[in-house]
Formats: sequence, C-alpha cells, structure tokens
Amino acid sequence: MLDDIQEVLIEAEAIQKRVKELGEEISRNYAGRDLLLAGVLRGAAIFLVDLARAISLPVEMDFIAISSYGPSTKTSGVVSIRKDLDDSIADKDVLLVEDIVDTGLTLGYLLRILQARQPKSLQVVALLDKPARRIVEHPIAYKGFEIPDKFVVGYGLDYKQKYRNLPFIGTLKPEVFAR
Amino acid sequence: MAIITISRQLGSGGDEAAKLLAKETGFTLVDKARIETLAGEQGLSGPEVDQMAEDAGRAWATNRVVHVDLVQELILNLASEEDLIILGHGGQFIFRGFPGSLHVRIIANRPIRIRRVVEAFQVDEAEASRLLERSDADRGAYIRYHYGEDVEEPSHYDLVIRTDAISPAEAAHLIIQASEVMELKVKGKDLQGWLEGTWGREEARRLTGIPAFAHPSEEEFARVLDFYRIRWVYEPRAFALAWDKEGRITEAFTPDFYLPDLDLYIELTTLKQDLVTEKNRKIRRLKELYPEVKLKVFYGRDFRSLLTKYGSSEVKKKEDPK
Repeated sequence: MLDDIQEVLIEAEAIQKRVKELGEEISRNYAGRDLLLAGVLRGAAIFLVDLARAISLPVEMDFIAISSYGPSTKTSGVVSIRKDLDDSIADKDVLLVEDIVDTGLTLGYLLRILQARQPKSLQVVALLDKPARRIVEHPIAYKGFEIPDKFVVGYGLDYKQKYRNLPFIGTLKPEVFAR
Repeated sequence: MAIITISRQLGSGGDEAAKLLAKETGFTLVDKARIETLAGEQGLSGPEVDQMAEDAGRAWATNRVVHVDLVQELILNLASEEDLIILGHGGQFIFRGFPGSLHVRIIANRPIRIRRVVEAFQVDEAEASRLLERSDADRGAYIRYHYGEDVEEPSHYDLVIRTDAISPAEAAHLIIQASEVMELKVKGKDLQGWLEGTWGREEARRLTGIPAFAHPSEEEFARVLDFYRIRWVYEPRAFALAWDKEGRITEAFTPDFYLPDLDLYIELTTLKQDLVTEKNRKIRRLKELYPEVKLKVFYGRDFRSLLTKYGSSEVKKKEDPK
C-alpha cells in the first residue's frame, strides 16, 4: 500500500496533534452542553472516532450516509439519504463531522436537511478544506488543514474504497489511477 | 394546459370525485399512485418513493429536497404535455396564480366523515376518529412544512365544496361547470410563459424537460447541480464589456450558469490555453466593471478534475480531443 503513495502531505503525527487541538477547542466551546457528533460516512469515520476521544465531554455519536454523484447516476437522479441518523437531533447541539470539504455541494445538502430538523445549533468540523474547488460556500467552524487542489487519500479518505486506513494524508502515484 | 387541483379531507369523498372528474374530462389524474410511478421512473428506490406520500407519517420531513422539489418537477413536467387533475401534494401552491388553474377544496362535516370512514375501512367510530385526526394532521403538516401555508385556509381555493349533501358525482359535475365557466383550457394555453415569468426562463425549461445545452460539459455540470438540488439558470445574462462611440455594445460576456440561491455566476472554461487567455481578459474586465457580481471560474483542469472525481470519463474524452 505504501508503494502506491506519491507524496505524504500531512504526517500522522501532525494529524494527531491537530485533532487533539480541535478536540480541546470543541470541549471548551461546548462545555455544559449536550453535544452530538454526526459523522458523514464513510470518509469521516476515522476522524470522528479520534476526535471524539480528544473531546473531554460526554458526547453522543451518530452517522449519516448519502448517495453521491457518479457514473451510474441516472440523468434525473437526485441525492438522497442512504443511511439516516438513528436519533432525532431536534434541540441538540450538533457538530457535523466531515473528512473533507471541496465543492461544498455535499455539505450544502447535508446542512439543508439537518437544519430542517431544527437542532439547537448546527456547526461543521472538517479535517480537510480544499477551497480551490469550492462551488458553494459554507462556514466551517472547525478546520483541520487547508490543502491544495490534489486528490488525497488516507485517514478515512479513499480511492475506490481503498487507502482509508493510511494513518497520514497523501497523494497516489499516477500509475495507481491507470490500473 | 388546464390544471385542476383538488385538496380534500379524508372522508370528504374528494378522491372519488377526482376519479369521476378524470373520467368525465379526460384530464390525467395525478394522485399518489401516479406520483410513485413517475418517481420510480426517475430512479428513486421503493422506500424513497413511499416516503414521498403526504401520509407517510412525516417521512418526507427527512428529505425535503427530494420530496417536495421532485414532486413539483414531476408535476410541472407532466403539465407541459397534458391537462391535469392534481389530487393533494400541494398542487394548489405549485400552480398558485396560474391563469389556467382551478383550485378546489373538498370538505365535509366531521360526523359525516366519520360515518364514511367507518364504512370505507370497516372500523369502529373511535378508530375512524383517530384516522381522521391523523390524516388531517399529516396533510396539514405536509403543506405547512413544504409551503408554509394552512391547508384549511379557504382563500387558497376558487371553489370549496362541502359534500354533506353532495355526492362525488355531483361534486365532479360542479367542478366541470366551474372549469367551463372559467375557460380553463383557453386561459391555460401558455403554461410555459407563466412558468418562465414565475421561475425564470431556463428553470422553466428545466422543469418542463426542455434541453438547453450546446455543450456536454455544461449539461454534465447542470446534472451535478440537479443532483444536489441546487437551482440554476443557464446563460441568463450578458454583461456588456465595451461600447463604441454611439454607445452600442461591441463586446459582452455571458457566464454559463447563475445559481440564484447563492447569487453566484459560474463559468466553465474548457477551451484550449490560447483561447483561455482571451477569456481571462474578459473575466478581468467583467470584475472591473461589475465588482458586485460574484463569478466563479472553473478552468479546464479544475473542471475536469471535478468531473473526474465524479467519474465522468465520457465528458473528459469529449472535452479533450488531444
């Protein structure tokens, strides 16, 4: 797996340090409140479990998955929920946990549907921000790293469902895409 | 096209009146079953289609974007081809203000509704009463949630029929007479014009299924926006960039897309590098002359990687003949 890596953009240690900082900041800001971490499957799974352990509050954890646009999407297909949150978020302080924000299209959809459920508050924590590709802007309250417009894998992010278990964020060698 | 919308209480006989009306007029009945069939054809899964029903225990609240926008789109698409009778589903609000529409509300007094529900569902009075309450609450919530309106409010309707002493066939007859008096078919001839006035030209074309693209990359991009239920307008405005001595426009720039909810223009630049330079000059000029306009430019490389991530290799090939 490591042979497929072109370049390591963010080392594992740097990620852990930043996740710890985010956890501390979130712990301070949400002290005395009921915080629910809502992770977006599958990319945010690894980030969410590390982040949750860096938060010193008794948080709830839940997950949501939505369909994504792809080659098999029908002409008039629309985004939809593949796996919904298990519990109601009404009147809860919700932190939507994303692995990466790039175009902002997925995030925009998630914020729209979650906001409609009337949480007490709804904010976003994203490990990675790729602003070069942004189409739709949304406020990201907690941001891990800003990255250049490169296709990255690792720490939850995949290429064809692989490489999520890399402990760092990196890019793939061009020949991997040609396989 | 002529549009008759029917909003009804459970136990009012409205469903039966709508069926008879469809039979008499030859209009297409758009009811729950029809919406489900249409949505199924659009690639929605069975459970998702089930959730679209007004009475699905508020399941629609989990996915407003799909369940209200798609219903609207399906109905408007159909309305461009056929005269319709729309049963429920907020038809009175989708076609609010359309000259060729007649909005009907069908009601009955509660004891009569209970008696009809007892007969229709073979339940006791207590259960019938519960069914009525749940149906009223669900239908009311659907309209309040999606359109912010009170379904019971009489001013939403051209005609309110109380069926205590009126049979479904008589109700259908009253509606036919009203539609003839109002000359619905004549007034409803220009649905496209009304849609364009209400929604904007390209949105109207999109809603009624008229293709508007010359370039596959634009079509693909629009598809991505549609997928995420983001409203867009195709080439809605040309910005003048240069004028001659008489004040005539000699150069203009028309961005590919406008996203009204974001107040954002988008330009997709998929040309060769030498042409990009010329386009960049125009974009710089536009930003000087119209600093208030928000414009986002996706260059060939960005745009291709955007689509590549979504796996659209077909567009990539068409875009890049090299």
